Amino acid sequence: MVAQAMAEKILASHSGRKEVRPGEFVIASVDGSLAHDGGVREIPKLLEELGVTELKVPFVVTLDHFAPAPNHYYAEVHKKGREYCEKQGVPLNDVCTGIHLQLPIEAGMCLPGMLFVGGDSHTTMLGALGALATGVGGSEVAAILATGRLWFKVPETIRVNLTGKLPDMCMGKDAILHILRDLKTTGASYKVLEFGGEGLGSLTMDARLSMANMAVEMDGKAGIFEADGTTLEYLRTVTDKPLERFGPDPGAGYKEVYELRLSDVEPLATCPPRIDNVKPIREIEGKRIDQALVGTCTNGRLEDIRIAAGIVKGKRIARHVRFFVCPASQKVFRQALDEGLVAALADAGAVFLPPSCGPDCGLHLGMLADGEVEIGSSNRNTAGRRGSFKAEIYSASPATVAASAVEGRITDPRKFA
Amino acid sequence: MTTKVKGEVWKFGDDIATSLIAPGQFITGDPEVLQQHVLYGADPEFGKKFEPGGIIVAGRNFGCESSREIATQCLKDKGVALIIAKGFGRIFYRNAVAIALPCLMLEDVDEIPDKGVIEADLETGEVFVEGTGKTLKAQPLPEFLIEYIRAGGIIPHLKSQMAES
Repeated sequence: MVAQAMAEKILASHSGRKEVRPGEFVIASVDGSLAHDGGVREIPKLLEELGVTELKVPFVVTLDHFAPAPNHYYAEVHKKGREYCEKQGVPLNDVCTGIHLQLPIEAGMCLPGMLFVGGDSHTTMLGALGALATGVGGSEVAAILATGRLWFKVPETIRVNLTGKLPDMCMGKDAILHILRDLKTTGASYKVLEFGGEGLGSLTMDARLSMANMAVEMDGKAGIFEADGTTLEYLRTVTDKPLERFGPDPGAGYKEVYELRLSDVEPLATCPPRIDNVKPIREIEGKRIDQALVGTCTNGRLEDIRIAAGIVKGKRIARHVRFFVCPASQKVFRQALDEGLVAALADAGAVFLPPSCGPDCGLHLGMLADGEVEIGSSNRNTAGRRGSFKAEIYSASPATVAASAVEGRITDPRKFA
Repeated sequence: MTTKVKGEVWKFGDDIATSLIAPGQFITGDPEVLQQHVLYGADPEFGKKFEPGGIIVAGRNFGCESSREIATQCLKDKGVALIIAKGFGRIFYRNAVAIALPCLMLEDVDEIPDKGVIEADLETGEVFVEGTGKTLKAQPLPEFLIEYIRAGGIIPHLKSQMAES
């Protein structure tokens, strides 16, 4: 039998095959799906059109994009979503309980070796747990719920071999931006990034989640991490189900191998106008900012808030800066409270936003005016994604964001080490 | 449905993200607002000047980023007959097939002039450029995806399959 990469193993086991090869089309059974308030507008209508009442896969709905409802239109969207979930018996995460990608993880819904297909491009984030996780649109989510299956083209895999350990004040975000700088926006088109190697053990679960989240920014179908001791240790806190390590077959062949020495990573940012315009912070230091944002699905977990709190503790953020912190879930917010992180950030002048995606998608909760500049820890910096098409968005690690909030200018966080 | 599509060319560059096609600020619940601002982030005038039946010709990674299906739907509603690009964001491509908006991948899009009429055959992948008289060769759609497009999308396709069984 041919030695297979992780994505091939998962697509084979989910399509009743011993093995599959890149380029083949398969119909695979799906283990779980999700939608947010963008999808819940359409999916129930499509299922009704099909006459489907019994859903074939576990499905979770989260109201997080327009949350809490910023206007009457979205209040009605939410109302319909609640009514659907109630009638259908679908678990609902109501407004601001968390982000649709974080909550299935905290609920133990996604485990190593699973195939998880959600109605959001950043569904790739779930690959941090050793699942093959990818995004589709609302019609295909409806098709999965109706049939339990979906078509896939078996992707080629780029193996990312990790060695060493991230330097102080450098985070998973910097590591994935390091790769994005090389691969650009199409470097992983129709491919999977598979992360493993002797450096894997040094990466925390939170770091892996932010890296898998951004696999899609290179147009990756998924970013999948080998499920090791760190993965199982985390999953034991959220599920009682039996768990196993999961990785590629020894000797699996890859389309490309990318060597990432974690010790070479330095603080980076994606700069306007393109997401792959990645520069070292030391080259853009001093740029005046108007707004700073820590949070969103990419970087709104405890590790992110902890490093930001550590940097601002006992200081004041610059007078001209609006500094928002948007936790990925209420659970994260509660943990941040317990650790005293909320107090440290609030005392420094930061304002907490409810867990949601609002600021990350140009919807509400912190839009920018013409000519304003934000440094944030979210994933995308496309023009218009934060209100004005003439605003500038820099995306960096929570450490860089917090350091910049204190100085009022883009700042290398290593100064605060 | 015929698999031949003929129309006027509307040209775009690389990395046209879904948030440029359907910007969040124009997704208000009023479809007319979005129709007036389709592709606003790439060309603020497109929503006003586009004529139905036109063919979008773009560079690499058309429809990258967010999975919003409304980005494909608003192009279809606008009357875009076909999108030809060097490559597509993979979710955009899936969404387009899912709602029967045909897409073709063509490496030689630079051979298509900015203005003029082209005719494409989805089954063979042949793209005839009236202005130059050249026939370019795109990757044809796999047969099972053409079936989705013939059926009017994945949901109508599923509906007829379910009716059969």
